[in-house]
Formats: sequence, C-alpha cells, structure tokens
Amino acid sequence: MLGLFKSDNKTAQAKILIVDDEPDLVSTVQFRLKFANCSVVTASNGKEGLEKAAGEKPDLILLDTNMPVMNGHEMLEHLRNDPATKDIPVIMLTARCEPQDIAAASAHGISDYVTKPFEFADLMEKIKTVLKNKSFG
Amino acid sequence: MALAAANGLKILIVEDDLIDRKLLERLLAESSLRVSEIKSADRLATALDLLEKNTFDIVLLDLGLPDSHGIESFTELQTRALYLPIIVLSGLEDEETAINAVQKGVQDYLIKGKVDSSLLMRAVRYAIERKKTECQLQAAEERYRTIYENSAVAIMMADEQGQLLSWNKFTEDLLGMDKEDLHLRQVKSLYPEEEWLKIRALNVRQKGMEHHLETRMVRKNGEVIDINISLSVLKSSDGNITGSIGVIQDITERKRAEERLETSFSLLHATLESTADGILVVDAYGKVATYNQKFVEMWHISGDILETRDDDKLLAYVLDQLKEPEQFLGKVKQLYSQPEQQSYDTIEFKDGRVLERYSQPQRIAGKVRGRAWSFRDITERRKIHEILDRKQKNLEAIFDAAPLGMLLVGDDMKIKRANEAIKQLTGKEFSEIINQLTGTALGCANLDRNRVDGVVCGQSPFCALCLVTNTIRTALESGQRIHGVETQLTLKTGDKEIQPWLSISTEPVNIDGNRHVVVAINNITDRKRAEEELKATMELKSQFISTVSHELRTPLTSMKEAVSIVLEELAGSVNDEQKHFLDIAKRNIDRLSRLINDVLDFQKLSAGKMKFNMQENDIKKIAEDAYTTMDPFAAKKNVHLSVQFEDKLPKAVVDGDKMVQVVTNLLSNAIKFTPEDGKVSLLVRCQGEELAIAVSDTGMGIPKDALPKIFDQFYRVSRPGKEIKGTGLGLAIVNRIVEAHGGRIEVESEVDKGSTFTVFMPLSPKIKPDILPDAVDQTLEKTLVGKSA
Repeated sequence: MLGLFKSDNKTAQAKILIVDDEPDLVSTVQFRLKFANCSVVTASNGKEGLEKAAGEKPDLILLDTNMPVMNGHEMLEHLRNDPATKDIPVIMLTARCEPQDIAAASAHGISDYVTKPFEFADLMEKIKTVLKNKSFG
Repeated sequence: MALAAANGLKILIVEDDLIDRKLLERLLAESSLRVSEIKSADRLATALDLLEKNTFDIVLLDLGLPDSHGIESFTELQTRALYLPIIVLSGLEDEETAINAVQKGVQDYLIKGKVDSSLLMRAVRYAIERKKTECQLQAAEERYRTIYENSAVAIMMADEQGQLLSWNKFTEDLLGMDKEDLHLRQVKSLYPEEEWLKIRALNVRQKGMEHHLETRMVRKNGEVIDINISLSVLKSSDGNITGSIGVIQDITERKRAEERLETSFSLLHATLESTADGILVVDAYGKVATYNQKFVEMWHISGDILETRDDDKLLAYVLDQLKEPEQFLGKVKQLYSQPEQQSYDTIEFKDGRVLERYSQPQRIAGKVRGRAWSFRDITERRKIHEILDRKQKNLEAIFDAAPLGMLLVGDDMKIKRANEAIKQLTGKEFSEIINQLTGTALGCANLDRNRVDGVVCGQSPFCALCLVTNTIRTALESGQRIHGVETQLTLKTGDKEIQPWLSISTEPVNIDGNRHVVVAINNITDRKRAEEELKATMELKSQFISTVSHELRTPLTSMKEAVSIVLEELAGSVNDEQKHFLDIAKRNIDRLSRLINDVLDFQKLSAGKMKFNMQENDIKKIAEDAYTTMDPFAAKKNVHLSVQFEDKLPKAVVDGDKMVQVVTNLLSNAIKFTPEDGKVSLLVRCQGEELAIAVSDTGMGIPKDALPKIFDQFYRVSRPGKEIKGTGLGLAIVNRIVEAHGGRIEVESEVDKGSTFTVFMPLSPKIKPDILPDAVDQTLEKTLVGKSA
C-alpha cells in the first residue's frame, strides 16, 4: 500500500480546504492529503469555512453537509455569491445520498461528491480530476 | 153534375126531329121524374154550346144529327162532358150502333117508338146512377193508379205464365230498367236463380195464399239488391187465378244497416269479453241490458239470477260478499237517483279482494237511457302498493338511520331530504336544511362570510373550487356515479367554525321522472387525522433513521480511514500480527457500513421513497458488472463462478444500478452459502415477455419450511453450528426492488444440494418511471454495495 497515494504533479502543492465538523475524519483525510503532498487547511463549520476560503484561496474545498453554525449547503451558497470564492471547486462529503440532497448541492455548482463512508482512493481520484480540470481552465 | 135529387133534373135533349123531341118532353113530364129544366138542341154544335153554358144532369142524344152521326156524336159530347150520363136514342135500324155506343161508354140506349114514360124514367135514373158509379169507380181507379204509380215500393203484376203485365215507376227505378226492358219480361229473369227457386217453392199460384219473404233481385247492371216481397195471386171475378202481384221493398240499406249493427254488436261483445274489467249496463227501468263474463266471475253470480235481468235481484245477491254492504247499496241508490252523475270508488270484499268501481250514465242520442258499471280487480295492485309502501318506509328508515350523512338533492341543486347524521354534522334542524342549496344547508363558512352581499351557494368566489357542489352537479349532468371524493370544508355551526374532512359519494337516481342525486357524506376527519399522524410518524422515523445513519456513517468514515492509513503503513510500518487485527477492524467497519446501507435501503423501499431510474438497459452488461464485482470473492473462497447468456437478449427498461444490486446480492449469497470447490452459476435468458436471471449454487440449500420466509426482513435461516453472517435484509431488499419493477423471484432449493434463485423481470416497466432531477449527474450516483464486501 505504500506509495499508492504518493504525490504526483496533479496534487503537488495543491491547497485543499477541508470543512467538516468531525475532527477524526478531518485528521485522517488531512493525513492522507499531506502524504499526497497537498497543503491542507481546515475549518469545523460553514462560517469558518467561508473565512478560510476567502483568506486562503484554496484550490479545492472538501465540504461536509451537516455542520453546526452554518451547514455545507449554506456555505456553498455564500461561496458562490462571493466573487472572490465563486470559482473554487467543491467536492461534497456527505452521509446523505438522497437525490434531493445531491440536487440541492448541484444547484450551487459542486464538482463532485462522495458518500460517507468512502474509499479514500475514490476521493483521491475525484480530487485529481477536479484539479486537472481546474488547471486546464 | 148537378145535385139532381135536391133541385130537380136538368136534361139536355139533342134531337133534330121536333116530334121526337116533343114526345120526349111529354114522356118526361108524365114520368115521376122531378125535372127542373129541359133544354133542346137540334144539332150537335148547339148541344155543345149549351153544354158550355149550362149544367145538365143527363143528355138524351139522337145518334142521327144533321151535323154529326152515330158514335161520333157521342164521342164529341163525352169529350165535353166527361162525367155526364148520356142515353142514346136510336131507331130500330141503328140498334147495333146504339149497342156499340154503350160499349163505348154510353149509359143506355132507347129505341125510338118503343119508349114510354116509365121506361124513360127508369132509363134516366139508371143512367144517372150508373154514371155516378162509373165516375166513382173511375175516381177510385185514378186514386189507386196514383198510389200505384207513386208508391215508394215496386209493384209488379204478372200473368199466369209469369210474364210481366204491369209495373209502376218505382219498379223501373228499383231495377234500373225502362219500359222496354220490362215489357212482357219473364218475372223469373229478375231474380238470381237460387232465389227464384225459393220463390217457386212457395207455390203461390197453387196455394193462392199471400207470402212475404226476403230475397234478392238483379238490377239491369247486374247488381244484386236485397228486397222484401209480398206475393199474392190475382183472381178473376169467377175466382180463377189470372196472375200474381208482387209488392217489393228495397231493403238493401236495411240489410247493410243490419249487418253493420250485427258487426257492431259483435265488436261490442268481443270488446266486452276481452276487457279485464267486469261490465254491467242497467237500463232506466232497472233491467240488466248487458254484461260480460268477467262481471259474472267477479261477483260469482249464478245463471238463475242473471236470467231474471233484474238489477235489484242482482244487488241483493251480491251484498253478502261485501265488507260494507249498506255503504255499497247506498251509493248505488244515490247514483240511480242522479242519472247524470259519474262516480268512482273502491269496494272491499270479505274474502280480501278489492275492486275499483266506475259508473257513468249510458246515453243514446244525448239522453240518459241507463247506467254503465265497470269493476276492476285491484287486489294485487293494492298488495303491491302496500309492499312498495313498506319497502319505501324501510328505505326511508335506513336512509334516516344511516351512520353516514345522506342527502337527496334535486336537479335544482336543492336538498329534498336529509338524515339525522346530517343534522349532527351541521348542527341544524331539518327546516334549515330541506329545500336549501347544499352549501347553505351544510353551513359553508365561505357563504357565511359573504352573507353581507347576499351571496348564495354557487355564487361566491370559492364556489368554483367546491368539490361538494361540483361533484353533485357532475353526477346530475352526467348521470354517472362518483365515489369517494375527499375534501375539507369550513363549516359554521353556531358560533364556531369546524373544518371536517368529508368523503363525498354520489349516485344519480330518477324519481318521478326527475333527476336526483343521492349523496353520501362520510365524516373522515378522524381517519385523516390518523393518516396525518401516521405520515408525521413515518416522516419522523425517516428523519430519525437518516439522522442516525448519518451520525453512524461519519464516525465510520473516520474509523475506516484511520485503520486504512495504518494498514497502508502510511503512519509507519506494521507487523503481521498488527495487520491481522487491523484487518479485523477494517472488515467489521465495512460490515457495519453495509448494515447501515441495508437498513437505509430497506427503510426507503418500505416507505415507497426509493426512486427508480427506469431506462432501457442491456441486461447482459448488468449481469457482467455483478459478475465482475463478485468474481474476486468467489475466487478467494475457491468457488467456481460462471456466467452464461442467451443469444440476442432484448433490452429491458429497468433501474440499472438497482438491478446490479439485485444480481450482486444474489451472487453474494450464493457464494456465501457455497462451500469451497462448489459452483455458482449465473444464467440470463429471455422467457416470453420476461427476462429470467437465474443464480444457482451447489451450496447448503434452504429447508422447505424456511422457503416462505426467506424474503422477510431480518429473517435468517437457522443453521445450528453453521451460522453464516449477514444482516438478514439482503433478500428482503432484493425482493422489494424486483417487486417494484413488477417482477417476481422464484426459489428452488434442496438442503445440502443447492439453490436456484430466478428473478423474472418484465421487459417493459410495470411501475411508473421515476426520473431523477435533471440537475443530478447520473454518473455521480454511486452505491456502496459491492465496493466493500
């Protein structure tokens, strides 16, 4: 398993913002991403996430849906309304895979989503795809 | 002619010889004849002149006159004085001429030189009397001839040989013949042959009697007419039969009238006998004029009583049969005393029968001649009416007592009838409900709010949407029944408003030729409330499960990642023993994940909230996807997994992902329950309008008593000592998905031999296709089953 998620050009030095209120999940994903040579910023709710997104200008946001203070859908809406952050790609991390939830998120322009519990390999593939599309504009 | 007896005779002597003339005068003077005047003429012309100017009782005429001779003189005189008796005076040598003159009409003749006063007197008297008699006979004959000629009957006389001698004008008219047709005609030619034979058989001539018969004659144009003939013989003075006379009356019209009358009587009789009513007609004298058999049967009247034709006897006979004989009799007497009156009433018999009695005067030419009675047995009809009345009362009782609110609405949309349940629903009395429009009767709050403007049911802005009046109106107009329309009304009862849920059903009916609707109103408020509570409960449950699942999944994600990171030696190397236990942890995390997914899936399927993305799919690809997913697991367990497809499998409209889940689950079970070196096969074929996907294994099989339960949630076959792990939801989920597609699963199994699960899927969807929102990218939808077995 070593080296499976070694960094490559696509993820090298990409800055990824993880917005999730679950510290254990953030810890494991952050660990994985750092191993893939990504720089990681975290936030534990939507409000903090917006501040970090505006301040850190991440290349990608991994966004949980169910959070206190401001949930993922609300943060996404604000994200898209702010010219400074409206173009940042978002992958939703969600425990709900109801079509209406996906549709709600898609309405505000998510690039992809994964359903918890997910395989990190799948998440990584999606991150690479999004970053690749971003790099090609 | 002068009245000679009273005033003396006035005599005219026509004699050219003076001596003869004087002689006659002297003889007349010597006779005892009372003579008042004698005039003489010596020439015929003078005599004629005297006749013109005077009145005479008799003429004495000499046949030898200077200006006329012989019979000529007499003829001339007679012409001028038709009723005057004439005695001819002749010489011996003229006796023959005198006799001839007597034959011509002269009353007598005297021979000159042989006349004395007594002879002259006798001759004069005789001549006067004879003339008088002749005149009388002539007058009589004239009268008879007038009658004969002008009679309105035909009179014919025939001789012994049957040849017509005389006939009157009517005969010609009757037979359409003229004098030439009848002259010397044989009488028998005037009759049809068979009628002549009847006449001959009477033998009138032989028997000499008078006969009357009805027979027929033939007119000139061949038309046969009916006649009544009186035949008698003609006899001479010596009693010999000289011929026959027939007096004939045309009775053709009478015969036709008789036939018409007979036809009418026949029709009347047939009508009387064919009617179901008993008919009796009594004349003004209380005599039974006519009746029909039905009358006899109705009243059980004996023939003896009927023969008397006595209405009083009839009445007395029938009174015993009646419940109220006095009343019956009183009515009869009253009607007989009022001939013009018509009447209708009913009569009740002791034996339970009931008759309707109609009576009206019988009129002929506008005058009352009697009374007609008509009786109709209405016993059965009354029984039916009583039964119908009872049934109606029963229905009304049911209507009134029904636990549902019941309304009868007319085609004017007004309530004609309501029951107790409506009263309870509305809190109103019947007087406030009946004859009101539905909304007004029920107490529609919308109308109440608009009362200021005088708005009635159907006129407020809300009425267009009112399901109650619209349903009733539709039922009235279409004649179709409508069942179970549910609506919530806002009703005002007293001071408060209530909002009951009602279920409306309507049934059009026809009452007395008019359209009505029976409306059943069921108060379903309690049921609706229960449904809403159940719905709320289900929502809560769904939310609970979703929330719980979410809450479970999030820590599972962290756990799984954390273990994976260590297993992958990203956090440092691990020894085999550590790896073993970490594998255990990871496997159980995956197992927990599957359980959560199964529970969520099952909950969605049970609540009917599972969305199906129905599209045309290649079943072969679905099967291959499932095969690809499960092959590694089969290989790991050393179970041989094979797949086989029928050629040219048609595409089917299914939810592709769900079908992959189904086939994967069945393969997973087959592999799970098959020991090492066993076989699992997947066969996909087409069977009619269905696809058949069969998963067979050589595993441990399912006991027969467990087969009916294997699709129950959380059911797991009891295998003591051989427990295989599982959630008990897999087959339940598979079964629900297949059923949702309109398919079915069949299972064949034998313990220790193996099982075959066959899924039958219709090629066309049996459920309404459910399309996912356009905003969702189908490729983003993933299931976890199969990714982490």
